[in-house]
Amino acid sequence: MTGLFACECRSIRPPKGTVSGRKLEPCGEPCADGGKALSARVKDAGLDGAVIVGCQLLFQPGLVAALAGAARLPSSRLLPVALSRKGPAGAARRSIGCTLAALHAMQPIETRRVKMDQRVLVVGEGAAAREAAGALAALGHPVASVSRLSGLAGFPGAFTAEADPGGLSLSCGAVVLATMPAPRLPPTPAGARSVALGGLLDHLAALRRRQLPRSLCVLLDLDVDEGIASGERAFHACLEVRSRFPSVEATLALRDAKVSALALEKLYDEVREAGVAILKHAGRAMLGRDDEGGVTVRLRDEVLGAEVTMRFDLVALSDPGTASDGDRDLAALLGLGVDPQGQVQDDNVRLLPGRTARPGIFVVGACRGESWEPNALRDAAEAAAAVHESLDAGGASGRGAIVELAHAVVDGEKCALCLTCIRSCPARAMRILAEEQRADCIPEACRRCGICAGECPSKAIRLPAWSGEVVAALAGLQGAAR
Amino acid sequence: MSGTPTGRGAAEGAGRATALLCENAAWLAWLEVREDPAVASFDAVRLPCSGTVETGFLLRLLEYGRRGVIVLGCPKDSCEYTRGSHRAEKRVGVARAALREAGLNEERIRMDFISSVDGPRLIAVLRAFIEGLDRGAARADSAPGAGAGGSP
Repeated sequence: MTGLFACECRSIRPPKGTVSGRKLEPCGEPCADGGKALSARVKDAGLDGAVIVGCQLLFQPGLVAALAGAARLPSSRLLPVALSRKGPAGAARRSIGCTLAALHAMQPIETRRVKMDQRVLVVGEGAAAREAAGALAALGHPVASVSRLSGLAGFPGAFTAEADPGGLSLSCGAVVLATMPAPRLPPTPAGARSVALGGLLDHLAALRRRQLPRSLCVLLDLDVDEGIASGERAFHACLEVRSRFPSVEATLALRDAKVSALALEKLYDEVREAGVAILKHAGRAMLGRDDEGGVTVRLRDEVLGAEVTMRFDLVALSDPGTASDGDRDLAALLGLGVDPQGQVQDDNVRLLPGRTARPGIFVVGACRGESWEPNALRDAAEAAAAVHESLDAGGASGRGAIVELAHAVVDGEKCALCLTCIRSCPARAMRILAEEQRADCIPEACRRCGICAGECPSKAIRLPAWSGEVVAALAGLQGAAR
Repeated sequence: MSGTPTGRGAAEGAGRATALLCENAAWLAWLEVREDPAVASFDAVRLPCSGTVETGFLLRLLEYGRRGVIVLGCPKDSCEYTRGSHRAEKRVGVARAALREAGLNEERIRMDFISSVDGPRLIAVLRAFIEGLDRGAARADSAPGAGAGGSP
């Protein structure tokens, strides 16, 4: 039996009388009172689903799920309708009527208790990996650390990972990728005097006084914009050069000074005050060599608005830490996206920080392009909290979490094993059941987006809460599904 | 299929336009601007992702008398499910091609991408969509037999 409720706040005007033969029952103000009145009414009447009419506040993130939880309804069986204050009564009736019809068209949603493996696998070495492992251990998760991964099967709460080297097989509930950055030095013309920024001070210290270069260019952002980490290292290097080798005239060339981090702007000012010339360039800087063994740097000066060519005795090239080739292989192995800079993250703001399109897999630090250590450590701590949240639902009691089985359901009779769902699922929640000769969806991995159902050429897949019948009813086409 | 209405053009909501909205972005923009008159001529359907929309469903909405159907997904680079908006765009393209091949006004089905904070753009897109439908209907009136306002 289902219910029809209306919020009692004054921001809406629910239609008077009945809608589809049903009267709207008052239910307090669920967004303000936590749904007390609503849950009492749902429980008293033993309802298995309800439509609730209110204003846009009903659509605050997580509110409907919380109200459903309080009323002991599956969250997909509590359907919200937002009314406008000025809109015509006919439109309000139609949208309430369609939502009621959708609730009736929806098949029951079952729940299941699922136990999540609490162990977390941290892949990589270095500060971010150590921070993630420490934070996870503090949250009560057993942690396994490996330097590389050669395979991963399973789903959130029950992954099986193959560690490399050694082929060790490990079970875990979630995976955190925290691999180290790989230094990448831009190519320089043969014979030109250039050093990597990381080795600049050692290089200068090894020279005799009269061998020291008179002019030095520290060049950042040669072909791509580098991050905060590169800037900080360059600022420190310039200051060291000025204090230890005062005879060296230093120029710092960069695209934009990235100083949006604690104390970096002050450091930048110190570099200027130490007598380092700072030059902002745009586009790609070109390196060449001159006849006397010096290096020419041709770049577009943003302040002058013109191309300039300068000569230096020595150029120090930034060697930014970026995702390595190994990381890209790892992304391909796990089905994760890679952004245009080759870093392991989809170019998608919704997945930041540290989340991937695959539930249960997180990526932090240099692996996703955040090589500045304070940010990488913050990443690691945030990912640890997200892992804990994803594994902990009901886990503290040791009895496991209650999961709504609202995932995509495959009709084995219709499935033609075309693998379209496997290719289209962004969460990699689909698999093939070889014995039954059909595709199958893993509830723990499914994010209920319905892309597979929309793509399936055989119309073999449906989302119970958003089946063809439900969507047709919402659109006012009762009985016109598929 | 049971319960198919016999008079399809007379089904409830006939003559109105339908907006299929992704609940992660376009729906939130819709809630913000729902008092605007441009919104009043649409029936809104909230979906978990625009990527769940099927080509056949888009055409069926027209078959059942809807004036037009607009699919509003997340901006492509911030789709909650990374590729949902891309996939919806492809399927809308297939539905439009079907209308074109049938000699109907393909502007009756459209896709756009709306961020959750872009209410003003949503209103502009809805207005432009209705204007496109009006233009198509006017062309159909001046060329009898083309029937852009009728059943495909």
